[in-house]
Order: sequence, then structure tokens, then C-alpha cells
Amino acid sequence: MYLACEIHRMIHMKTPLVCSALASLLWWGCANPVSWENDIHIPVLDDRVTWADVVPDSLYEPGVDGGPAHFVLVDTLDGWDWTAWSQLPDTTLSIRYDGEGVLTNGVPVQEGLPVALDQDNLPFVEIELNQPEGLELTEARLSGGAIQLEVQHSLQCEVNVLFTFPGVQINGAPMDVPLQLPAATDAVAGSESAVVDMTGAQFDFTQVGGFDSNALEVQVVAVSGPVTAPSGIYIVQPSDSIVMNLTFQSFEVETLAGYFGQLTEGASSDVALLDTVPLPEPSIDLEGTTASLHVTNTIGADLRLFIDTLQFDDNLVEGDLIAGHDIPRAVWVNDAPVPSEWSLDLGSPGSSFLEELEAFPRSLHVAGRMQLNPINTSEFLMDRLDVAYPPTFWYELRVPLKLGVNGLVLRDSFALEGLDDVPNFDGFLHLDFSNTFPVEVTGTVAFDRLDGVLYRDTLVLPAGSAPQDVTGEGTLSIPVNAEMLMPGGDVEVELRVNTFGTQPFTGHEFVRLQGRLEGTQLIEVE
Amino acid sequence: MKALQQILIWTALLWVRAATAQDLVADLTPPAERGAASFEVWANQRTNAFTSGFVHTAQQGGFLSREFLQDMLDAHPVLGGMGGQVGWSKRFSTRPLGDGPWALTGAFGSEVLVSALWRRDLLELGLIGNANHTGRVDVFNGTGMRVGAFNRVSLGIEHKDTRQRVELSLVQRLAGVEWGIPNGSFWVSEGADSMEVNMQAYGVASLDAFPDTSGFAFSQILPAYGVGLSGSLPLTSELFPIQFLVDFQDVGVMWERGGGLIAAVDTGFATTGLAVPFTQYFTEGLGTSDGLTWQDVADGTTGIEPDSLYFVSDSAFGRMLMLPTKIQANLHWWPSPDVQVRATARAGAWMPEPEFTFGVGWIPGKRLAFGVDYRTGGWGGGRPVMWLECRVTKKRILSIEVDDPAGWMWGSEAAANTYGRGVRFSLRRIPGAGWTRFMGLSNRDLRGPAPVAPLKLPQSSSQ
Repeated sequence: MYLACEIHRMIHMKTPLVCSALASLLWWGCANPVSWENDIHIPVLDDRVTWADVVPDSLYEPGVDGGPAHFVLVDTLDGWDWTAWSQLPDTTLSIRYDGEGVLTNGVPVQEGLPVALDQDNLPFVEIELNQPEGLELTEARLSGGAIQLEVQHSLQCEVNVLFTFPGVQINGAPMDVPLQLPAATDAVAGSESAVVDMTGAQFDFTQVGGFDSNALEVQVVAVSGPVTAPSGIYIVQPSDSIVMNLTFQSFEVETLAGYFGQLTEGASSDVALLDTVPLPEPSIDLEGTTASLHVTNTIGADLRLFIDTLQFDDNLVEGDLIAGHDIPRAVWVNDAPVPSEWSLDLGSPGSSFLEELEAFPRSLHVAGRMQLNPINTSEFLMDRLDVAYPPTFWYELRVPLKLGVNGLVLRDSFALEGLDDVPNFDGFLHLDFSNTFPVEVTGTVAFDRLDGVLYRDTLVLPAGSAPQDVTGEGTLSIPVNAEMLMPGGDVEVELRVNTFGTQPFTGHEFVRLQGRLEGTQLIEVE
Repeated sequence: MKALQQILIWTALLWVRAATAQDLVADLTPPAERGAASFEVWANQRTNAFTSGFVHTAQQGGFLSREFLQDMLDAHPVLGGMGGQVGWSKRFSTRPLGDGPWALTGAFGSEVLVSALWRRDLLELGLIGNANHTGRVDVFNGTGMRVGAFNRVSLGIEHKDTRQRVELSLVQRLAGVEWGIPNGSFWVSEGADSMEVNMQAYGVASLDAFPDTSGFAFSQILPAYGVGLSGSLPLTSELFPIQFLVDFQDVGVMWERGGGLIAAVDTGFATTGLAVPFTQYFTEGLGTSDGLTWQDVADGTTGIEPDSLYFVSDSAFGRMLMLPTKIQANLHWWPSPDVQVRATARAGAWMPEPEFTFGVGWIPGKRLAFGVDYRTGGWGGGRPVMWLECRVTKKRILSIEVDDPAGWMWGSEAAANTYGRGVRFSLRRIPGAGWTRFMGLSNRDLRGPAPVAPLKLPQSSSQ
């Protein structure tokens, strides 16, 4: 309907010019309405449908030298969330300087003098995480996060404490945390807390003697402030203590080194292959098809992929694909990974993958597991991770476009509103089709007008051939006049597609649709 | 205007001084009478494209058949044109000033000129369409129309013996409208699968604002003024009855002041038709089209603003134009006192080509002359012209010239094949005594032949 209106407008584009010209010629005496017929031929429609219009460029490669095009499907599989590995859970560690241990008892505290601590036996921070199992870290660099220090003591004097972490540097500077603790009373401990931004912090977990991972040294210097005991003198008791709680908050790792432990995560995915169009008697020639899974491993750790289920519709893919596949680790050179490429040929003779694909399945279901460090290599502490280089799990499917569809029927129908103001035009909209697809298309247009008249026309568009430069041509002529446009009605379009067996498509095929308006316009000048 | 006022004042003073001098020497100078004067009214319309029969039929209204239009187009020249002139003029000459041969002369009058030109291609496109000539480029170049209403006054001197005359003209264009297509074309390929349109057009009007809803007001008109030279150069043979006369009018320029209306279009496009983004409907915008689509037209997202296609302003710059100059050359020959042969060439007045007239006239008596001419050019082709001169008084001649007489029989079969019509009335006063008169009817002496004196024979004696 809209097209008819626009055609009407286009016809009338010339009308003002014509009318003004004639009116200027007849201006002096044309008192009565005059009309005449104007035969026009003008192009109104030109469209070309190619593979690029229906398939993204990334999904096909045009054929070379007349060879078939390839349907190329390359995409990542997002079953595993690699980013989760870069986030450490919030953890709280507690260190106690006990009056029966490091905190020397029986010694009076005096304002301005250090509180006696056994420096040779200071406790250290030991990292213990439940997941992944066996995690041993030697180095870590953070891109974000914070540490909250909360210190409590029972000494009845004010204490100035300086905590120093020799294994931690924040943007190149050592991590020192001074705290001024109020004096404790008999009922309430003296406490203070501080939060340190750890963005850019570099951890070295190997500086504690006897440990090559997971340990952080903490140095403490405590100096007494004014004594608040009623006697004016306070002597450290065995029951006294200084307790430091370290809480790691929202740690985000930038790099990790050590041994990442063992972890297994499962994932599954469903891919829709053919959506809604039922294909009668489809055929596909899969000779030359390649299908493969790939992993670009940028983690300095071994992986093992278990493909548990590979299923087209209701049919399981059988063969040697269903097994564990070892994926070697990336090699770390100059603080950057050299990825390890791994691929699995899904179309190997030992699998039924391609046979199942020939049946034009509608969906594909994949389920599997990924195991980190399937072999325990904790003794070497050589795992590496840089979150800037995430691993990629992807697949590639290359199918030569040699397809056959016999009797595919596409139907659509819509209501066409009647026009109240019908242009004074009587002619045809000729739709010229040029086809180089090796497909014969038979189209039928039926217009069931509300006045009871049924208009039907058929288009037969022969198959063409892009390699042989053969174009199938056909024309569909649609009447454009008041008789057709005024009543309105229902339009039903039906297309039957037939390839007469499997045909190679080169990717250079196109269908060109040109519309030309030919008819007679009645021009009236009042 | 100020210059004109000064000219008029000086002329009046000179006339007063001359009259005073004549009074003083009245007895010593021969009597001289006033020079020629005339009053003319004319109207004509002519085209080289439309017969009166065609125009009359179209005027009647109704449906114009294809055969009817095709017959007209078959006879249509490549460049069609139509022009019209309606006007009047009053001319006078005084007595010679003082003892000299020069007299004051002048004229004033008004005229409306209409000129329209069009390409046959444009007319064919509009009347019968392009279906029968796809693959051909329809050219619109040269199509345009001009309408102007002029007032003029001229003042100068005329020699009583040679009848040479020169005048300074002041011309006012009261109102004017003009539009044209300097460059335009339309082409549709033979298979109607591609189309190319180019259009350069302009329009100007001597109005300082667009007529609003309150209608047109005369105060909106912007008159233009110009200055030109007019004159006459008659050459009369003393040996042969031949007379050659060159007459020119308003050779000069006109200044159109700024502030008028102007509109211009300069655009073009080539298309094989707009696309319909079918695939976008199925692939959610995958096959986005770079060009204009019908969907863009439907959504109003073409990006083409109508205002950007043309330029309209009510502040046009001033410009200098040529006056509607007229130049005319007449050659008269009287092979005998009763027969007159004349040839006239006329150009200007917005005519697309010169107009030539050849004819013969008969002067059967002292009071009457008439003739038939053949005229071609100007706005149209060949047509007959009939003229009649009648001495209504001793000094006054009434002339009637009818251009294409059959064209006046509007609606009749006789007028069907005519291309226009015209008429000119003039009432001329022949110059008085002391002035050289032109040959022809105006030179005939109404007093009749002088009486023959009795022959005096020599006397003899016989003695």
C-alpha cells in the first residue's frame, strides 16, 4: 500500500512541471478543466540480494575460480569463565603476639620505650585458600583491592605500633602501616584499625625462611605511650597479648605465579543450527568439510578437556572425540605468554560428527569439563597467569556450499488496506528478476480482493549459474490501478525453491530485483 | 528622476525663450508649423507552436486525445515560443525652435511584454509522457518565461528637414517576473531501468516579499528604472522614389534594485530505482544498505531536507538588465505614385528572432491606401498582414494594421490554422508646413491639381 502511494507521488513529481508549463501557455483563456493522458516509464525499484545480505561476511568465504564458497563458522565457546580465576575471595588472617610467647612478660612498660617482642620468633602470614586445592603462590600482582588491619591489645598503656611487610611493595614502596593504639582497661581492649589500598601491590610469598610459597613476613615495632595503670606502673603479664587481624578485601589479581592447584569445572552449551524453516528433502555434500575445536592456552598451566556429550538433536556423536584431551601450557617468556595452540578435528574418521551433520540437525548440544593442572606439578611452582592474556576456547566449521533443497516452500501473507484516494494511474509495476543462484524459484502472488475478485499471478524464475555467467530472468507484472488498489484485500505470497539436487554455490550469486512503473497517468488541470 | 526633472525644466525654459524670440521676429521668419504627431495602440499575440485551433480546443476543456496532442507535437518546432505585446504610445513634435531646423520631440507610453519559450521535449514529456521515447535525453535548456510592464517617456530633438530624431528615454519597469531553465534534462533508459534528471532553474520577481495570506498589495512591487536612447534616421533618395528609415527605441540598460524575490534550483539525481531492504526484515539489519531505500522514504529518514533542494530569498541582489530595445528598419519604394512596396525588419522586444515583412500597397487616391504584407519571424512563422491608411482630415491619417486577420476569427474554422493575431491602430498627424514629409499617402496634396493658366500665343501682324 505504501509503495503504491509512493509511486503515486513519483508520478506526480512531473505533474507540477507539466501543469505549470501548459498552464502558462493557456493562461489567457483556459477556463474549463482539461485533462490528458501521460504515458510514463520510470524505474522505481532496484535491489540486489547477495550472500552478504543474508550471511555475515565472517560466515562465508566466496569461492575462487568457480569453486564453491565455504560456510565458515568461527566462534568462541563461553562455557568457562576465565575471569573468575583472577578474583581472590575475601579472607581474614589473624596473628597473635602472646604474653606467653613473642610478647615478653614480666617486663614493665615505660613511656617512650619499646614493648619487648621476641624479634627472632615473630609469626608470619600464611596464605591458605580452599580453592583451588593445592594452591601455592610465589608471586602476585594486584590490580585492585585493599587490606584492612585491625589491632587489639590488653596492655594498660597506649602503644604506637608500626607494622612492616617486607614481602609487599605498593607501587615500588614498602608497605608500612603505623597505628596508635589507645590503652586497654580491665574490661575493654585497646584497638585501632586501618585500611590500605593495595592497587598495584606486588607480593613476594617466598621471603619467609623455610617457606618457598604462601608466606608473608610481618615485622612489628611497638613503643609504649603513657601508662594508664592506676599504680602508674604496668608490667606485662602472661595473659597479655597483641592481636592483628588482616582482611583481604576484593583482591583482583593481575598476575600470579606459583602452582595454581587442581580444579575442574563443567560447562554445557546449546547451538541452534536451523531455526524455523523446515527443509524438505535437504541434501548437503560435505566433502571437504572441516570441523575442529581449538584452545589457545595463554595460561602457564596444563589443561585437560573432557568432552562428555556431543549431540545433534537426539543423536549422540560417537567416536574418539568423547575423551579427555590434554592441552599443554603456555610458555612464559619475558613476562608474557607464548600461547599453546591445541586443536581437535571433529571430522576425524573416528567420529560420526559429519554424518550427523548431513542430516541437517536443528541443534547441537555440547557438554564437557575443563581440568586445571591434571598432573600435579606443584613441586616446580612454574604456573603463570596474566589476566591480560585470557585463554580462548573456540571452534571452526568450514562447509563447502554444496546444498540441495527440493520443494522448499516459503509463505507469507498480509492484509492490504484499500486506498480512498486512488491516483489516476492505470498501468503495471513490472518486477524484473535476475537470478544467478542455481536455484529455480516459482513464485505465486494471490490477491484476494475484498470485492470478491481473486487476482493471481505466477513467476517462474529459472536457475542461473554464476560460474557460467548464466542469468535466469523472469518478470512479474502487478496491475496498479484503481480497480486493484481501491478495495483492499489479502495478499498471499508463496515461493517454491528447487535446486534439483545438490548444487555448488560460489558465493558470488545474486538476485536482482528491478521495478519499473509503466502505465498511463491521467493529468487534470482545473 | 532628478535628471529628468532638470531636462524638462531646461526644455521648458528653452521653449519659452524660443517663443519669445519668435514673437520678436515674427514678421521676419517664415511660418513653421508643428511636426508630426501620433497616437498608437497595439496588441498582438503569436506563437510558433500552437495553432489557434489547438488552443481553442484546449480552452474548451475536456479530455485531450492522444491523436490531438500528437498532431500538435509533430508540427512543433524544437524550441517553441509565444509572445505578446499590449501597449500604447503618444508622440509629438513641436514647431522648430527659433530659426533653426530642430524641434523638440518626445513620446510617452506603456507596454506589457510577455515572452515564453519552451523545448518540445518538455512539452512532449508533459503531454504524452516518455513512454514512446525512452532512451532519449529530453533537454529543457532555454525554457523560460518573462513578463514585464513598462512605462516610458522620451524627450529629444527632431530635424525638420532630414527628419532625423534622437531622444533620451527614461523607462520604468513597473513590475516584472522571470523564470527559466538554463540547464535541464530528463532521461530514462530504453528498458526503463535507470533514470537521470538534472535541473538548474531560477525565478525572480520584482516583489519585496512573498504575498501573504492577506493577499497581494501594490506596495510590494519594486519598480526598476533604466535609461536609453531612442531615435530615427530616415534616408530619402533625391533621385529615386526610395526611402530608408531606421528607427530604434530604448537602447540602454535598466537597474533592478535589490530586495526582490529570487528562487533557484540546482540539483540532479541518477537512480536505477530505490531499494527495498528485504533482507533487513529477515536478518535484523544485517544487510544494511548504503543508499536511499523505500524504507527510508516511509520512515522519513532520507536525510533529504526539501529546503536544501532549492534556494529562496526575498533579498535578491540588484542587477543591471538590458531594456526591451526595439530596432526597426523600413525600406519603401514607390515604383509609381499609386503603388508602394515595402520591406521591414524588426528586432528586439524580447522576440526570439527578427521579424521580416514584405508587402505591396496601393494608393488609389489622396485619402486612401491599403495593402497586403507577408510577415515572418518574431514569435512565429509566416502570416499575412493587411493594412489600411485613411486620411480622415487634412492633416490626420488613421492607420489600421491587422496581423493575421484570420486569427481574429476565434473559434472558427478559418482561424484553426493560424498562430496568433495582432492589431495596431494609429492616428498620425502629418507634419505641417516647413517640414519634410515622407512619401506615400502622407505626401499627397489634398488641394488637387493647380489650375492651368491660359496659353498665351505670340501675336503677329500682316501689314
